[in-house]
Amino acid sequence: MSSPLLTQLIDSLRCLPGVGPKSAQRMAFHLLERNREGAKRLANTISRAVEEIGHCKRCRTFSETELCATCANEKRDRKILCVVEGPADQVAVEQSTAFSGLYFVLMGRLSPLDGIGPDALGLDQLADRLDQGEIEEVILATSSTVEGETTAHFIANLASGRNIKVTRIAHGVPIGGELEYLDSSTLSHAFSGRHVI
Amino acid sequence: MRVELSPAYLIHQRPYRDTSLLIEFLTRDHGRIGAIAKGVRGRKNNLAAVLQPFNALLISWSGKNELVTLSQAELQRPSATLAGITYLSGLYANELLYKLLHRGETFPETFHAYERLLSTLTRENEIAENLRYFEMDLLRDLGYELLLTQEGHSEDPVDPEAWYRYVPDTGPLRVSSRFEKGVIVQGSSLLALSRKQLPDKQSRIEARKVTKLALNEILGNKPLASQELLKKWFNFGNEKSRSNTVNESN
Repeated sequence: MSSPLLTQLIDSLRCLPGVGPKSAQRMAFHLLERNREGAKRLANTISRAVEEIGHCKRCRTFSETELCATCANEKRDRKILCVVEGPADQVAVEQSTAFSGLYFVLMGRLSPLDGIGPDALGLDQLADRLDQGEIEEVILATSSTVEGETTAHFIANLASGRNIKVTRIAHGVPIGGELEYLDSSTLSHAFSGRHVI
Repeated sequence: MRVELSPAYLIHQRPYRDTSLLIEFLTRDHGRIGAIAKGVRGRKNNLAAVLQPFNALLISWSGKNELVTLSQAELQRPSATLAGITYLSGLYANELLYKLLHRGETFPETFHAYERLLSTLTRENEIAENLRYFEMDLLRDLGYELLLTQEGHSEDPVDPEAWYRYVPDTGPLRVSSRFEKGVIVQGSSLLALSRKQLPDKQSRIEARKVTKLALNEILGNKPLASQELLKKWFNFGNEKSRSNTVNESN
């Protein structure tokens, strides 16, 4: 490449997930050829975001204020706490359910073999919060993967030791799904988790 | 090389690229293998539900390199429902397999020992002894069989009443009292472990000392992550959940 700065830009864009050399080059040319204004805005926003966004003191999600908007909202039910793995999961729960309690965002999941232990997930902080006595129910909304399950078991132990009701989100037949095509693990979970209608 | 429907258990998986998984399997006929499962983390894929630990699987793969490509995985038998301490004990067994088995060698005995362990894991009050038997079988398959019935050096039969210092590679060495330095166990515990019958708390605790020592020799004293997790599990939980199996199984 003739311009060192251009090469540097292309290399920098590759830090984005799923962006290889070819797409990085396309992005760089697009920004320089057609949208210098947008590029400037992007650059400013990124540097501000990296500087200013930290973690909410209570739920650990991303926030530029000490308490995030959800935690600061007086109208939310302070007795129910939903534990999710990441901010994306929090957004998903928020958009598609009528959940009105508070969150605790782990920013990861327990994976002992990969070196992610309880400390990395702020579980001490969660334990402190449960000790404050305000919370009556903890909803475990972690993924149904190995790490998600490990995390759920671990937090369940932590909460039940403090006499707090612990619930796990259901695993089962997806809406619009036909039983015939369902894998056997999900189907057996769906059976063991059946409920009265 | 193509392999069709080989019995296997998943030991460990981690995300790879956007939609794939890197998985370590313990297979009955081909030992430990590393495989890429392409596109299984997508929204419309049922394979991810099958690819969970403790499920008895039948897997097919192709490739001859270090990393093979998984082409199919079928559920042969779903795992028993493990929760809490039984789940963590299963993860402990997986970590041992992950750290001790190398790719390219077969471990048929270990496969069967693991299968036996999984079938007993749901019985929470027997976890400690069943983990010990699994560790013992694993050590034997790796070529580090525990010496339990004969004294080291002299090769005299172990006396159930006597006290021994357990030394890896050498075996039990008779000592004059239980207050000596090192891992000191009673002969009866060694014999009980060799018969795979650990009747009381003392024998279970002493058996744990022996297998831990032997495993640490090969693991190089690196702490096992699942054990650390188990310790924290009990620290975080309350006293009430501290069952008798705790100190024996950890």
